[in-house]
Amino acid sequence: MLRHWTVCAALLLTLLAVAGAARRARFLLGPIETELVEAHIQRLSGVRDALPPEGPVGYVSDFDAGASFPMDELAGDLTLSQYALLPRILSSDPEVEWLVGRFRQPALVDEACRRRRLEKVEDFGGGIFLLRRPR
Amino acid sequence: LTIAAEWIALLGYPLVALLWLRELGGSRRGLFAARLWLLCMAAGLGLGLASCTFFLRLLLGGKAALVFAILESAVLVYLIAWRIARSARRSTRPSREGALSPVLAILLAMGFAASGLAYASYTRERPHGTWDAFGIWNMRAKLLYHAPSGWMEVFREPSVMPHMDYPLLLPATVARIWRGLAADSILAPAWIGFFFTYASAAVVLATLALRGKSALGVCGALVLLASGHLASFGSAQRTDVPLGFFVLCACSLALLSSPWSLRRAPWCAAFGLALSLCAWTKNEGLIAALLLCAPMAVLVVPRMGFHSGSRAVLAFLCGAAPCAAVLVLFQLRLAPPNDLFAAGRTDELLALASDPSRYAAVVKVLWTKARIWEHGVPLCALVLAVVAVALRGKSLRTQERALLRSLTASIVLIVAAYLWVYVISPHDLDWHVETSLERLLLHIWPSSVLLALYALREPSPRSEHGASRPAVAATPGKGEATPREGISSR
Repeated sequence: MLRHWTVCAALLLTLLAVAGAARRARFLLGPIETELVEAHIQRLSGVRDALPPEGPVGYVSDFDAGASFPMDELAGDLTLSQYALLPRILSSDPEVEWLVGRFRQPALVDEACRRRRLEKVEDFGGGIFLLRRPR
Repeated sequence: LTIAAEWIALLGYPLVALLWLRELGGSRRGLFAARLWLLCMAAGLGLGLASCTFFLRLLLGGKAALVFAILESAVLVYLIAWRIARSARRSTRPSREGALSPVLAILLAMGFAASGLAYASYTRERPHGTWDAFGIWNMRAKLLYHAPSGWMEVFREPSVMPHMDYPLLLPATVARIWRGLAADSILAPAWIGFFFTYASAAVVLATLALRGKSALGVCGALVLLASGHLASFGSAQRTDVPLGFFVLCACSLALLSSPWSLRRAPWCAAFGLALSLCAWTKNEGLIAALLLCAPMAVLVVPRMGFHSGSRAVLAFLCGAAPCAAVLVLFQLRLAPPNDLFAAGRTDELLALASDPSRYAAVVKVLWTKARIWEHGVPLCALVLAVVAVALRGKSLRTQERALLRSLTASIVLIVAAYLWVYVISPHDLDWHVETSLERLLLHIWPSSVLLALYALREPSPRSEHGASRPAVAATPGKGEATPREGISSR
């Protein structure tokens, strides 16, 4: 009798597992949007290749132009950018020569350059810029 | 040469662990549960060891790292050859004990297949894992993989990469696989997550089957697979599932270390290794490791007598020492202070810990944030474990009862410690509970399921004749004459 209950319990649990998998199946079958991280890696691939092979890299964002985005979003952009730019390590050193600009509002890049005394080297589109501190 | 060294280490450590655990026992030919247990346990412990030595090699750097890699490979090849030659002289007996009934085997296969599909779906949806995965764990794996000049400075000045005090088992394992592949493929962390996810279900199944409780083992594995937590969090590529796996490994090793007293030194060493890997996986793992030791020291070791007890403790320390040493090295040389226990928080910590209103606030937040499915299921398994151990305790042997009580008390204490951390948390309580409770409970969930079902009686005619018989019998250790107890196969 107990054995039958065990089989029933196992059957019920298996059905739950199958139902859970079926609920997810649409993600396996249907097309999915380009994933956030992958998209960011693609967006930053140009600037990553354009950076000099050695030396620290700085980071500039809308925050440096005085824009008031939620800090969570800007911190998320920073994390994603660091992930995409590795093995280059983003430095907090204010005197670093080469910088990556990642702007949600690309028009703000000029203001950020003015405030931090940087020059715009290249625009990779999508709010991604290569910036340099004049020596 | 470097790629070859990586693969020798990645395959060599699990193989050495397999041959070593096989010597301990569970190697009967034809016994599916024993093979499954050996494979999962050896792969988990082996990958953990490989991550430790990889980190050591990175610390050495330069030519010293190359010499270390060559020495490591040579030692592994020697150990494997020696173990194989040693085990070839021994015969194993085929056995059908612990075998699954066809119906349960089919249901189990369906459960694994369904959960595997769900895992694949999650991975396709988010191939880089969730925020914690690429923001912390995979980010660090990339750092260790490339190890650019000045990589150690990143730990000392963690401005961009958060939580640099977190231990490195998962990042170092992934980085080592990437070094072996010579590319940072996103499939590597996904496969590592896959292994720990399904090895957790497999170890629950195999441990119970090795104790003659195959039907309960199938139910335990299906409980873990059916809920979807494991597949979801495993595919998220975070360290919670691996930590749950190592806590489970420790419980499994303790339960299978017949005669339920950790008397046999190699078992104690393996138990120590599993606990040290808990601490090398995540900061919470250190709490788990300490709290799995403490009740054992109080409830189990004193019953072993001075000679056996001291031998067990010595073996445990020997097993734990290598990974513990690497962890200490990491904490002393690289890791910044943890945000909870940063310098200057002592007064604040004491104030929070001694403030009754803070406890009330934590209870209130837990009550409002708790959800039946996400948090209730793991807690139900723990409550079931406590009730089952309390009710069934009297029918178990003294040593087995002490061990089960010790492990259950440990799991309860781990949950209590996790909840207490909320009391001293510097973060917003709502946010902290919302973002952490579910994954924290994942650390104890597989073990809770194992303990709950272990304490239950197997619903089969065999168990009606008394205590369930282990599916694999032991070989007594040197100087021990307990032929029925243990797990080897001579």
